[in-house]
Amino acid sequence: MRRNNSLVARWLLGSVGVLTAALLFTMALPVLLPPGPAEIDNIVWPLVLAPVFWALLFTYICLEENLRRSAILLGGISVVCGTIVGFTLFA
Amino acid sequence: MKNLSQIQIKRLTTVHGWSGTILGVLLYAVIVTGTIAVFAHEIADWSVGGTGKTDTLSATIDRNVRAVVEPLPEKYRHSIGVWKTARSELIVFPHFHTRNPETGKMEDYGPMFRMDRGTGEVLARHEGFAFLNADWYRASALENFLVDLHVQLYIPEPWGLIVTGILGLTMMAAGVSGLVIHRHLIRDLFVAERSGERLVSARDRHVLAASWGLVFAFLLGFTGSFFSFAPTITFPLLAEVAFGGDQEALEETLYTPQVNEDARPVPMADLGQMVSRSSATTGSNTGYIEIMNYGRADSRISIWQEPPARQLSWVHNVFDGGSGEFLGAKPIVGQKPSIGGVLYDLMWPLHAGDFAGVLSKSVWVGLGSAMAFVVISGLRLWVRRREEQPLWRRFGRVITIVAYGLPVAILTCAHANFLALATGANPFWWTPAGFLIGFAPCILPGLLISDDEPLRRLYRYLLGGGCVLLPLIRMATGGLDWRAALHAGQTTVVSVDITLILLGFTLIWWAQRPRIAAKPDPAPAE
Repeated sequence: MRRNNSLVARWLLGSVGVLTAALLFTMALPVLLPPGPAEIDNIVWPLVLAPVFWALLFTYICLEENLRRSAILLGGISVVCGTIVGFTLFA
Repeated sequence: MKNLSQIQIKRLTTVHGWSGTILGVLLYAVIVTGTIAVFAHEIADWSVGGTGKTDTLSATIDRNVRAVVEPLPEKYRHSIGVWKTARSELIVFPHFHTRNPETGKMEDYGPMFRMDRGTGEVLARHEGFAFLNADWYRASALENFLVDLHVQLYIPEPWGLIVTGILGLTMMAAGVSGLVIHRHLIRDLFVAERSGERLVSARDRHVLAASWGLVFAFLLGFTGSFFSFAPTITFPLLAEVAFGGDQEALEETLYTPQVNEDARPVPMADLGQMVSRSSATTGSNTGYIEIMNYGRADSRISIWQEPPARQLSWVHNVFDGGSGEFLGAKPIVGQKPSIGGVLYDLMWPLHAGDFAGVLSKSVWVGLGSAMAFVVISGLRLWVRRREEQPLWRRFGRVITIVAYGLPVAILTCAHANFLALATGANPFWWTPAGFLIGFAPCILPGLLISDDEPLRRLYRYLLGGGCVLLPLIRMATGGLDWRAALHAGQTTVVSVDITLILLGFTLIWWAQRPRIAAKPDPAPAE
């Protein structure tokens, strides 16, 4: 039963969790990154690298033994980046 | 990767296997069509038969553009796209951006002119949201179909792009998990297939092809998912955050040359001279021209040149439309060079192998073919390990049908394209129809022949025969013969014909090759 629960948790983290964290991280980067000399780096880096963010987080979830730690990491990314995005959109 | 635990390796192997099994068939379709689409421009030149016109774009462009643009109302002069089709006709598209009530999206609207470049005669004039009608702006229905099938699997926007984006992510996941679970990567690069048709032989073949293609799989998955997700998801999301949802403002920031607004009327300088200067400065062919604010003091001419020697990306030269003055080369994104711009520029050449002519494209075709084999061999391996179960055996039969059926259907759509051109039918309708018709000779034998080996032989004969016949059908339906093609400098036509004939005879030889008898497994498979 416990094994099944951890399997379901890993599935949820690997699908919805990774997707949410990767998208919010991508959306927060224009605020976090410096725009660079051409003033576009903060847009172009997340535009291009969004699939890599997903791949990194997905691989991490597959390899991480401690589910609690992975949940904290994904949750942390989502909350921090979600707050930044929320402030940018609605402030 | 010796420091991974058995549980981690088992988990990654499960992810590798199941992701490949669930999405492998669609992934195979995207890889096969993408491998062919690497040579999309060459296929376009070949399929329309060529017209012998190899002159540069600059010769009559100024006269032709003026003739159709100057009588138009002011609203169409905001932006004018100009390019040459595979049939060497000129397309001039004066347009403005407006919301399409059918799709709800901002799209380009205006009259699209297809012109004879020599005489300036308008061959066709259509008005509307032009990019929704491929036959208005493309000469080759075959190129259009193959590229569309690769880009969005012929599924309507935006869902097709989202599906191919997910397939790109799957490819990345398969590449990364494959790399991590590889215990002997260097040795596997040179693994020799064990004889017979045992499970270990199938595994050896899969591992060998996959080892060489691991980095390539990641690269293609990454760049492919970027091209799929950027217009559908990432770009709109970033526009929300950085530009309050104004996607046009984001587009202008990234792609449009900066200019102070000045609506005073000014006569336009000679466009042909600007194109000549742009080609001479860059040392490569002109691919596309965009004229902003035609006939105004703030007019800008953007001329995109194909990548010159020793450079991976296209060059965007900017001219003052009124004076004809060369203002310099603008980065593809942004107004100044930047690391982000370099990264962006790399995406297309890395995805399409379009950076060192036929040589790099051929390498990409080779690696793409290896990736297609990796997908099919991986699926077969997965099924062979479960073949005692009837459901998996039937899935194995589906894999065989799709593996051979897709290339056969692509061949029949090419045949249909030539037959439609010869009979005056619409090739943009008959080419996809030919693809669907081509599935019948693929599925039927799969249902009727129970043994796999004769079924595969039949498919190889079908493929080989289809390849050998294609150049003959092309010439019989009015395409250039080899003498006329060589005389007109259309070497692409001859090259594609010869490649098809060689490929066809190789497939027929493969179909006739005696089967290697299976040997009992001396050792358990891994």
